[in-house]
Order: sequence, then structure tokens, then C-alpha cells
Amino acid sequence: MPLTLERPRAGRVTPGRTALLVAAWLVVQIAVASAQPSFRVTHEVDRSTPDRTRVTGSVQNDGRVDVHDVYVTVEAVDGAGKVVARGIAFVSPHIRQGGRAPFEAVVPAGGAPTFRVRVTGYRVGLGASESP
Amino acid sequence: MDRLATLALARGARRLLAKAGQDIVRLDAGRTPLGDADAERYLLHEDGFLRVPVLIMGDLVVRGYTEELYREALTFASHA
Repeated sequence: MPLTLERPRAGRVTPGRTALLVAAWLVVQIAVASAQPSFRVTHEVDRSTPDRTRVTGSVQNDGRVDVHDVYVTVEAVDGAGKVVARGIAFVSPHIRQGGRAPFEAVVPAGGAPTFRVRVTGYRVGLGASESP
Repeated sequence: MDRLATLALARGARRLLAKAGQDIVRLDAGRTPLGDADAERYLLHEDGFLRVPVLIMGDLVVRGYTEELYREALTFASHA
């Protein structure tokens, strides 16, 4: 009796192929995640000039890629948690990985008890602008 | 911020103050939001990006920063 081996037909899903696809997907996800920019933002609030609060600080690029055209948004938040004013400031045309760049924004909302700062715009490589 | 992000930022604004050279441009669209054409014209730099500081207070958008501009912005905002 001749011995015949059954070959998996093209397109047929086998446990081995599924495992391979899952592994490939995981590798891609890890690669994408490691290339995502990661920012650390520190800031200080200077309320010495009435009605023109000056927020200064820096953006640290903790990601594994250089970033371009970085912007921050400074939000003045009142006691009820409502954003009463937003200032958008251009930080730097280029922050290399591990690098840092200073920023300054003036927001005329001296009465706001809280100021939040976050990176709201950047570009990786030659890509389009992104928002975290 | 590129053109699309800038237009999104200005969406819903009804009034605009913009420093243009030595002058200040004042737009008040009343109950109608500012159009994309206005946002492009007054907010975007010629390279298609937002390059100068922008302040948003309610429905007021302020482009640029000078003491005079922000003084007017505070007055303008309080008359919303």
C-alpha cells in the first residue's frame, strides 16, 4: 500500500500557521509601540503679572525616535474643572531622542487655580502631524 | 500643527484677533462660526503650519502675542 502524505492546501488555517501569524502580529505591534514618541513635560507657573500668567517648562523626548514640529497646549482650569483658556505654543522644529526643548506660553487666566500642559502636536520623520 | 489640526482648533470660534505686522485684525462673525478660509488666512503660516502662539478663550481665537494684543483679548473676551 503506497504511503501518501497530505499537504496542507494553500489558505488552509492550521494551528502552526495561526501561531506564526500571531507571533508576526506581536512583533509588528512591539515594533510600532517602541517607535511611538513618549514625552515628559515639566512646567512652572508664574503668576507675578496679573492677568498674564506665564507658563514655562520643557518637553523631554523619551521615545526612541526623533520628533519634529512639537507643540504644547497649556490649559487654564478653573475650580469647577472647566477649561477657561487654552494657549498653544510651538516648542521646537526638532527634538532628538533623549533630547529636551524649552517652551513658554502666556495665558491670560491668572485666576485659574490649575494649569495643565501636554504635547498636542508633533511629527515623526516626514509624516503628517500627529496628536498623542 | 498642520492645516487640518489648525482648522480643527479654530472650529467653533466666532471672533478672532490676529497680529498682522503693526496692525491688529479683528473679526467678529456674530452667531456664525468663522470659516475655514478665515482660519487659514489668519492662523496658518505660509509654510502651512501654525507657527505663532495661539490663545483660545471661549469663542475667541487670538493669534500672536503682544502685551497690547492680550490686553485687548481680555476686554474682547469679557464682552462675549
